[in-house]
Amino acid sequence: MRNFKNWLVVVMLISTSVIFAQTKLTGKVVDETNQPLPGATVVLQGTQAGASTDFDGNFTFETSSTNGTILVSFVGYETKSFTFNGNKNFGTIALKPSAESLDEIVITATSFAVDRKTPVAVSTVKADVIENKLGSQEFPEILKSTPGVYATKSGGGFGDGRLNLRGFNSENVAVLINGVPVNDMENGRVYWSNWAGLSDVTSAMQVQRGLGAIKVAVPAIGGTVNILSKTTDIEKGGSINTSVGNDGYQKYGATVSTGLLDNGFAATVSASKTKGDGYIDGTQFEGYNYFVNISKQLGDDHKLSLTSFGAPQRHGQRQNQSLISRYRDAESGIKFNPDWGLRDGNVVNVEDNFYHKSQTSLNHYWTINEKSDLSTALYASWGSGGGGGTAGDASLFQQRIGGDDQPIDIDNIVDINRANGSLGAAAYLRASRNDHSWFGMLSTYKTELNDNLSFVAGLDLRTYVGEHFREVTDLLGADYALGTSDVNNPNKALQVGDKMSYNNDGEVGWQGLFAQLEYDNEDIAGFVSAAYSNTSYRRVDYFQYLDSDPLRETDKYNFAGYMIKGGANYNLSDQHNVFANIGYFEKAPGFDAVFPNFNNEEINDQAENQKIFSAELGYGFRGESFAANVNIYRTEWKDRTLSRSFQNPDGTLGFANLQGVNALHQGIEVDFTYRPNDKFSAYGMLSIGDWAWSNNIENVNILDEDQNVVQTVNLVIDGLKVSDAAQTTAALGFDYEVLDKTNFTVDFNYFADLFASYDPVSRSTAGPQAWEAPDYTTFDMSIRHSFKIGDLDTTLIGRMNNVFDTQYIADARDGAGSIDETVLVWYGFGRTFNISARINF
Amino acid sequence: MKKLIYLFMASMLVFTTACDPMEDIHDALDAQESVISGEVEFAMSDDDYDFLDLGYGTFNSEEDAKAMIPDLLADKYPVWGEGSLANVSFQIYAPKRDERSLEIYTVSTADYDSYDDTSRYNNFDDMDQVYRLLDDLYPSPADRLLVSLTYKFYSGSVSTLNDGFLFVNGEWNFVQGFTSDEYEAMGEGYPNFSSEDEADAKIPVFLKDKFKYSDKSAGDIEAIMYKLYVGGGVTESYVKYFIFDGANWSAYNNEVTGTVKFGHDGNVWVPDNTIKYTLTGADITTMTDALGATYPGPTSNVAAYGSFDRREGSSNYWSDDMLVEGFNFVLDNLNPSAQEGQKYVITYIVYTGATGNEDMKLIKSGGSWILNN
Repeated sequence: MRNFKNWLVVVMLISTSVIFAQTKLTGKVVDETNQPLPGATVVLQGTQAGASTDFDGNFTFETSSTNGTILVSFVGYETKSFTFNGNKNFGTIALKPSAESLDEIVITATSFAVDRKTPVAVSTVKADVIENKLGSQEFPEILKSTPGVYATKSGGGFGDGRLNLRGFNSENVAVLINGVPVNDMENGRVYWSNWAGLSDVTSAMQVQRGLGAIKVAVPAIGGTVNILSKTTDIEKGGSINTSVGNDGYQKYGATVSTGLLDNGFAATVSASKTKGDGYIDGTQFEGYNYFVNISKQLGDDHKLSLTSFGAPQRHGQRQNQSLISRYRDAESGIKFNPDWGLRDGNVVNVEDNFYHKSQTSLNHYWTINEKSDLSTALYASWGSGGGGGTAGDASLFQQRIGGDDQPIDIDNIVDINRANGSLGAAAYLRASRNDHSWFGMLSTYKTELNDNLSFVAGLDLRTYVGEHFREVTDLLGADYALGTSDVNNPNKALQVGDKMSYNNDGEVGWQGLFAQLEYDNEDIAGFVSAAYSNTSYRRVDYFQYLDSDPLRETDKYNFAGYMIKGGANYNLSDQHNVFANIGYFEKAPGFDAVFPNFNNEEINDQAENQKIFSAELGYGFRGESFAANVNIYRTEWKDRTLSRSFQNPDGTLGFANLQGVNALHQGIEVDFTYRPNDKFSAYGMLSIGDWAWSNNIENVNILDEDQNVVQTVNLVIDGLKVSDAAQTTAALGFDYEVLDKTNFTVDFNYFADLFASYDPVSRSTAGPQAWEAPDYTTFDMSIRHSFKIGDLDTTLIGRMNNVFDTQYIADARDGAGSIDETVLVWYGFGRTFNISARINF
Repeated sequence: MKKLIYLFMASMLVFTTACDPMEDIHDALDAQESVISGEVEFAMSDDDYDFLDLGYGTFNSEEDAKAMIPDLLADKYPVWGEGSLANVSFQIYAPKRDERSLEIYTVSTADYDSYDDTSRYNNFDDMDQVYRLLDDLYPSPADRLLVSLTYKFYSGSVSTLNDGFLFVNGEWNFVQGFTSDEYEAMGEGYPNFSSEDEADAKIPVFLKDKFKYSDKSAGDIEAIMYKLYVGGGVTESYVKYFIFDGANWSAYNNEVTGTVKFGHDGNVWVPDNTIKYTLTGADITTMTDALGATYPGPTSNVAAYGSFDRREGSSNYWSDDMLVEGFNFVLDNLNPSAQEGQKYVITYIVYTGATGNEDMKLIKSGGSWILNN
């Protein structure tokens, strides 16, 4: 918070700009499908004066110049210029997608796909859609109408949402924020709660399915989610916003921009606070969000940009899924949460999550000459926080105030602990902490070899230390808790804040290299690229080994991965284009695959790479009022990490790395937009996946060093459907301008073929398909109304999600026999609402 | 292209008609009534006996109790279902027979002399010798004849004893009497009591001392003969029964307390010795200590989380067999003297993807605990 104050002071000091208005310029900026482009930049050539378009793509802009040229630009689009002489209305200005303008956004440019040029399947959600539709939903849910995406709220806690892409979970979906990868360095997962406030400052969110156009050596099987934050606002001003919603949801926020100053400086600061009780019982939350961007133009050739953002939050969680029957019997129905209790009548979030991950990057963009440029990002990220849970006698947390649908009786535990006195705690609360510090550098060099051919090279260096430990967070009335896990201090009376259970560091290093050749002429664009990465792992254990024990720190273990891919797009005409891409890559195993038993002796240094082959064909149509995309894909995922440990005759532990656990994900994706007139638009998608495990492992013998058979492995998974994401999804939406500046939007989303999650490695004998959730449809609507309060643009948006209060299961875990009676589930939310107001100044 | 849109719209309409996707599953699961299972321990009250039309407040036998109590339980706990347990204690009418007629007899020297094995020392040294004399003295005794016999008995030294012998159902039953010394110890100047109240008050106190080194357990009933001075120089002998409650003796009122456990099998209550038991943290330590070397992964996992990982395929998976193996240590520790056929239902915390409870039914068979499904 202290940092934040400092930023605010800086902003206040530098926000001075006065413009003497004489000439009035107006117009409307739209994209290739005639959709308005809010936030497009209009600037007077040769000056720093300019404006941004409003929600409907309109701009009004006054200048002291009586004649000149304006430049109209938007991220990912070609810049257009228009001359004026006196007041002028430019009418509708349609921008065309382009790669060149991407250079405006320093490093992020390198990974954004361009329509009808980059040969990948892509969907982009812009800031206006996020503002209009997200409301109090989880950030990933804004992508639920995107083909191939399955996003849910998981347990329903604030920030606990998840996103699967083409059937792959977050470990296999790369997420980049402003071009910087944010997947966990050890396990590859994405924790959206780290970015709970990011939606406020997102200018665009682009999903590239499959191989993608990503220009760093990040292996993503399912695809890539690129999030671009807002950067420099051309115009001085800002906005305040507030929203309220169901279950006590409240949010307040403000954004202030200096605009681009004459000295080349620009700064934007945004902050907000969100809190609420949560739709689910026991998921109270409070979160903050800050974003600061300062940029400076240095001469004509250099631009520096410093961005820092983060979203500290704490929220109650619903960690555990329950049987359907338990929800049916529960007083609070689908809102039932087994993971919270009452103490002195106050809510105790027994399972909770608290985290603050800050991400700060300094980006430098250098135009070396007409043909070459270099963009570099230096970034640092610190994370601190963890997840709360129970410790001690777990049975005490099953004792409830009444029936088993009621809160946990914490008072009872306090009484027992107090009676125990000097015997210590019977049960208490702890948190599993996962702090980290991460430093990295991304650098991309691009040069035009000739008119049609460019060369791009990239370097991606990262160093990361993750600190994993547990700590006591609440003794629940006890004098102390006995800690016996630290060999250096084997009997410790633990107090709040003391470390317990485990305490170790994971050190991860990453060195990636990337090279790409790009070809581009009138109708044909293509690329071939290769990437190589080395991942190194090292483990330090402070609890299991004496301070003097050399085993305390392991050696460094290196794993190499690589990727080759290529693709081409051919524009058959102004309306039709086709593209194809193909690639193969090998992905290094994760940290836990190398240290599977969480110690420094049993190390699987021969862990297998996972191997992925992917190919895709696509077709695009861009008509006057109608645009559509169709693409088919086939992704083979081979040698999913599977190892078994066993004992050698001499007592040492050995590892067998089994190969051949393969999955095949293939499918077809269709999406369209239709905009017959200015007032009405329709859009939709259909995504049909066929994702299944593709072979069995039969009677594979594991041999020890003396060639004795120690285990025989069988996996019967051929034909089993991949779980945890709906394989069929569809969406249909309409936006209609009912009255002037009043838009009404409805969205249908359909989900089918969702199989309860299971671990294929557990299927040692033939079994049924995992439990299949009933198909479900949700219906959302929103209404948006813009008006002026004095001179200030004001927008009011009301949203209602799941209007019909449909009960459906969005997350499930397979149970014995794969039947209704045993499956553990989380229901999706019932009807929720959210109303927000934003005033621009 | 327009057709494609219409197709989309039509298909969306179809999707939206299925407005309650959970309906079928909910209906099926709601139809399965949730079972309320309880556990109770009580002693039957007068009202309870009245409900079973037992006006005297006793059962005639334990068999009767086992047959009749299920009706009572069904009435008292109408919503309880499968898995419910009741531990019911009740009274059984078990009358002890006292005397109808009395003979007072002191064994004479002539009596000892009439048998070769007692003639030399003029005393008995074997109870069989006493019964032989009784048979000879009373060849056809009336039922419930009490003989108050004064005789000399050698057991290390010779003492003069006065015991009763009650003839019931064709055989003589020994009834403990008191010696003169013992009457003296009870504060009596003469070897008798002056009133029945005095006898009732003093005998329990004396018995506590007399049997303090004997292996008497709760519920043991002792027949005691005492002498009462009825006036006019006449002393009569009476048989009275006393019952031990584990600490003290008291006059026996012809009722014994029985206890039977009942369990609900889903339809009715049936006699069932099942004990419900919830596993504690200490029990998990017992299991992990015993099995740590055999199952290092699963034991360290349950030690850390307090829940048994029941996800098949997990490296920390606890199979049924492993749990039974572990519960053997717990139950042997908890109830080392458990009888064959003793049943337990153990409740323990599991992780199946979520934390929850599981129950396992076990029975002692062949000296170890096995699954009882």
